[in-house]
Amino acid sequence: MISDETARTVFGEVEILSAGDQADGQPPQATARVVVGADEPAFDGHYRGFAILPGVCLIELAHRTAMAALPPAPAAGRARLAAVEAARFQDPVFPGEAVTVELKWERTEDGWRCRTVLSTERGPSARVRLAYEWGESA
Amino acid sequence: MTFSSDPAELIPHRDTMLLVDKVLEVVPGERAVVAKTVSIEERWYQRPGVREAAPEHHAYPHAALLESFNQACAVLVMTTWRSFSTGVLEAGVPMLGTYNNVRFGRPVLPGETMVHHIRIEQEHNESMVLTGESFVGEDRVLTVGHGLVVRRPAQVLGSGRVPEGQH
Repeated sequence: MISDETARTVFGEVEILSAGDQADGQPPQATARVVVGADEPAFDGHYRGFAILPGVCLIELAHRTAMAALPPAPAAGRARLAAVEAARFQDPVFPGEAVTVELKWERTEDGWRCRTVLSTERGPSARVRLAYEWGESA
Repeated sequence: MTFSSDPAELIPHRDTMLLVDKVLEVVPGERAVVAKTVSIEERWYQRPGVREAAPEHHAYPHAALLESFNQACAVLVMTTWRSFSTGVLEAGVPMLGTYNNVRFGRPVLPGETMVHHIRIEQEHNESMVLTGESFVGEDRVLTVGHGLVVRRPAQVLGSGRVPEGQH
């Protein structure tokens, strides 16, 4: 379960801009925005004299967006991040930039996966594909 | 050539974002074993409301777990490049390009020690593909199918410019 008290590396809030249910063949999807402020802990020592957001933080932003806009549960229990199926890092994110997350869900055998594109105003920063499973032990 | 057990001697990460503690074993060009103990003092747990919350909210963030693994990879990569680079060729800095097939096990909690076991799968002049697992005791908490790191000139960290394509 993700809530405000859950430990995370990016302190900024993820603002859900839109979240659409499955309709007329369209997969459930969502868009979100988060501002990565210069005071984010993840910039501290990464690196001294040259701050650049660790790529793993973009994976986290995709995950938080997914958890805030979950598709219909395929089984009982809670959603759990099971895997990062793939992640590709294309362009850095610097302090003060706004990151937009575009996310689309698709069904898998064990649950759902989402394909996300995380962008700054300069274009795509990363593409991340995450797999979620539902279960009582999540 | 002997190597220091202090990861800070090999990689540029510091302060909040130095997420490996000790190099236990390293064989340049082959493999490494690197440890990190999770602490409740880490910045993720200082965000208001987190420390007082129930233990289920203290799972080490996936991003920090992955980044710790990355830094273990960086230790092996830097050791390898320094071992085999000539005096003319600058060793450079590894930057993360891609991941494939990363699976999470049970959550890691403050006080636990993660041990990352990293292996080189493929080596090229300007990049390396690595694989590995992370354990807390006998529990496998992370499996990384493939991670690609790319060599960038060390100057990139001071120039204010990052080449296209990588973080």
